[in-house]
Amino acid sequence: MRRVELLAPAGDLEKLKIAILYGADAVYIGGSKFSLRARANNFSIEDIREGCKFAKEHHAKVYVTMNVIPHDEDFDDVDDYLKDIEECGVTGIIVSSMEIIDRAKIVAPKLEIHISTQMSIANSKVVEFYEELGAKRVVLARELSMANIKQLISRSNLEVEVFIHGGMCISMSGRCTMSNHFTGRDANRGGCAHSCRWNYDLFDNTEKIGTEKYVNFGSKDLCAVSYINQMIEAGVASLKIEGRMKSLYYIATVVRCYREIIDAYYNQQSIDIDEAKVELAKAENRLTSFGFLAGEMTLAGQLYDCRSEMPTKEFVGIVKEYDEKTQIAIVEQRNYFEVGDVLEIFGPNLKNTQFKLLSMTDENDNELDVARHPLQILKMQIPIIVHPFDMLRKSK
Amino acid sequence: MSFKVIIDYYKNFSFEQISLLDADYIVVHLKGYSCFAGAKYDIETVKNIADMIRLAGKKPTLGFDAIIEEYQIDESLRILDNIIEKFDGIIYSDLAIYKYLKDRNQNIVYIYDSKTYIASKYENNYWRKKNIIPIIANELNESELSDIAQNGNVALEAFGYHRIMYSKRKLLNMYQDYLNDSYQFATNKMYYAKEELRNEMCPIVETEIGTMIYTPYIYNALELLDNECIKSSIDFVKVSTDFLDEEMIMLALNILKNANHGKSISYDIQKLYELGTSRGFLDRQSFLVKGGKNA
Repeated sequence: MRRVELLAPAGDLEKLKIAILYGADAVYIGGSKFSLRARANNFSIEDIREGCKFAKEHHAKVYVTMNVIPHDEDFDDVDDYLKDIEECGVTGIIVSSMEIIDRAKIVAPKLEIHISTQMSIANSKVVEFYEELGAKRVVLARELSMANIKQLISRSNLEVEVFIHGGMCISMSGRCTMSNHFTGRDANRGGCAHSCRWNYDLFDNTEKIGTEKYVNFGSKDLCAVSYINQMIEAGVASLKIEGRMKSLYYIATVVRCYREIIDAYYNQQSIDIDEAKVELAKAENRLTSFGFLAGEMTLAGQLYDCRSEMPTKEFVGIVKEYDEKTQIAIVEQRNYFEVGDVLEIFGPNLKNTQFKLLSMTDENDNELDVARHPLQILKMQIPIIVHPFDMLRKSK
Repeated sequence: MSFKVIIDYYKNFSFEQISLLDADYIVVHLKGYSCFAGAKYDIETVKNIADMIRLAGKKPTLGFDAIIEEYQIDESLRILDNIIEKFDGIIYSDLAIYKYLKDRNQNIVYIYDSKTYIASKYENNYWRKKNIIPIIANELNESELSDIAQNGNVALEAFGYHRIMYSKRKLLNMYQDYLNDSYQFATNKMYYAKEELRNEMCPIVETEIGTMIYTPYIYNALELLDNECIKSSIDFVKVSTDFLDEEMIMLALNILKNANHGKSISYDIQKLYELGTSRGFLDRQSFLVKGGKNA
C-alpha cells in the first residue's frame, strides 16, 4: 500500500523549503496568477523552477494551485503558463475550472489534474464525473465526516486528498460571495475578506434577538490529529494542511507535528495526541476543533466570542549556521527577545530543547542585551548541535 | 427567438393559476434536497404537483440543488429514479446528479446552478458541449454578465434575493445553544443578519440542509432584457421567489412576458426600482487584492 502523502502549503520559496525540510512529502504553491491566496507572495516562474529543483533533490513534489473561478480576462496567457509550469517540473495543478482542465490536458499533458475543494466534492458519484474528465485526484469538501470519507474512498478510483489542519470556511467552498457583497473583494479569485468572521446582530423582523453579544459566524480551525490513523487506514492518498498565508514558523511546527504522527503510524508506534496538541498550540493562532470529522457540526466548532491565548509560543529566530567547535550559532531574528529569556529550539530532526540565553552579539561581535531588529543577524551560544533552518521560540 | 421563464412553485397553486402563470418552467423543490427556503414538499407531493404542472401545459422542473454528501448519495439517486420521469427539467448544483442522469440517458433540460462558477464565456462553452444550460454567476457586473449572456446557452437568475452563502452548519441553532437562551429559532423562517458597521439587513435562513444568507436587496437585472442581443441569446430567465411578495413576482413575470413580446418594459422596471429592488452587483466591480488584474 502506498504511503500517505503529507501535503503542506507554501506561500513563498522560503516556506517551500521549510515545509519540505520539516517533513512534507509535497507542497502546494500559488503562481502569480490563478491562485486563491492573492495576498500570499506567490511564485514567479523562476521561483517555481527553483522550488521544483529543491523539491526534487529532497524527493518531494510540487503542485500549483490554479483554483480561482476565472473570469474572461483571467484566461489570458493560461496556455503559456501551463506549459511553463510543466517545464519547471511541477507535478500537478489544483483546479476549479473545467476550461483550465481541458486546456491543461492538451498543452501540458504531463501535469496531474487535481480537483479543488472549491468544487464541493462530497460524494463518490461526483468523483466518477471527474474520473471521466481525466482527473488524478480530488480534494474533498471539508464538510464530510470520517465515516463518509471512508465510504467515499471505498467507492472511488481516484486519489483522495483530505484537509487535516487549518482554516475552515463556514460556507461550502466556492459558493460564497459574502466578501464580494460587503467589500467588493472577490472571494473566489483570492480576495476573501473573511466577512463571516465579523460581528453581526440577528433580527426577527425588526426586533433584535439575543443579548449584547454579537454573532460571529466564524469557524474554529480544523485539527485532525486524532483522525490521522483512521485516514491512512481508509486509504486517503494525501493529508493536506491549509495555510499558504501562514508563517514560516506555523508551517514548520504543524508539518513537523503531523510528520511525527504519520511516521509513528507506519512504525507502529504510539503517539501522545495531547502532546501533539500542545505542540500545535505553539503556532496556532486560533482555537481548533475536529470540524465535521465526527459528524454534524456542533457548537464546539464555532468561534463565537471565544478567546484564546494562542499561540503559546512566539517565533523569535531561525538558525543560519552553526559551528560545532565553538557552539556558536548564527541566528536571524524574527521577533523580539532578550538575554535571559528561556528559548526553545526545535527542528526537523531536533526534539524541543530549552536553554537560557546567556549572551549574544551582533554579526560584528558587539554585545547585545536585546534583539529588536527584524532579520538582524545575531551570534549566540547554543549548547546542543543545531542545523540551518532549526527555529527558536519563546513563551508568550 | 424568445427566452423561457423559470419560476419556483412558491405557493399551493390551483390548476387554473398554473395555467395562467406567465412562466414556462416551474420548479418544484424537493424537501431535504433543495436550497429553496420554501422547500416543503415530500416525494409524493412533488410528483403530484409535477403532474398538475404538465397537465396545465407547463414544464415541471425538479429543484434538486443541494450538495449531496456520501451518506445521502444512494438515497438521492433512488429518489431520482422514482420521480425524474415526471419532470422536463432539473436544476442541480452537484455534478453527481448530472452524471447519474446522463448515464441513464435521461432526456431532460439540465440547468446547472453553481451560483459562482460560470463567470466566463469559456466556462459557459464547456457546458454547452455537454448540453447543459448553466446559470450565470450572480456576482458579475453588467459588462461581464452581458458578455456571457450574449454568448448564448445560459440561464440568468434575473430577479430575487441572491444567495451569497450556503453552509452545511446550522448556524442559528448553534447560536441559540451558545446563548443558552429561551429564544427558539424556527426552520425555514427568514431572519436578518446585520453586520456591526453596516445598515444592511441580510436575510438569513436555516433550512433542513443548512444555513443560507442572501443579499440585503432584491436583485433586479431585468433591465438587461431591453438589450436585444442579450434577449435573443439567453435561453432561460429565472425569477427566484424566496421571500418575495406576490405583487413583486407578478410584476417581474409581466416584465418578462412583455420583453418576450417585444413590448416596452422600462416603465415596469422603474416601478420595481421604486419598490426597493436593486441592480446590486451589476454596478460593482469585484477586485483582487494584489497580484491580479483590477488590483
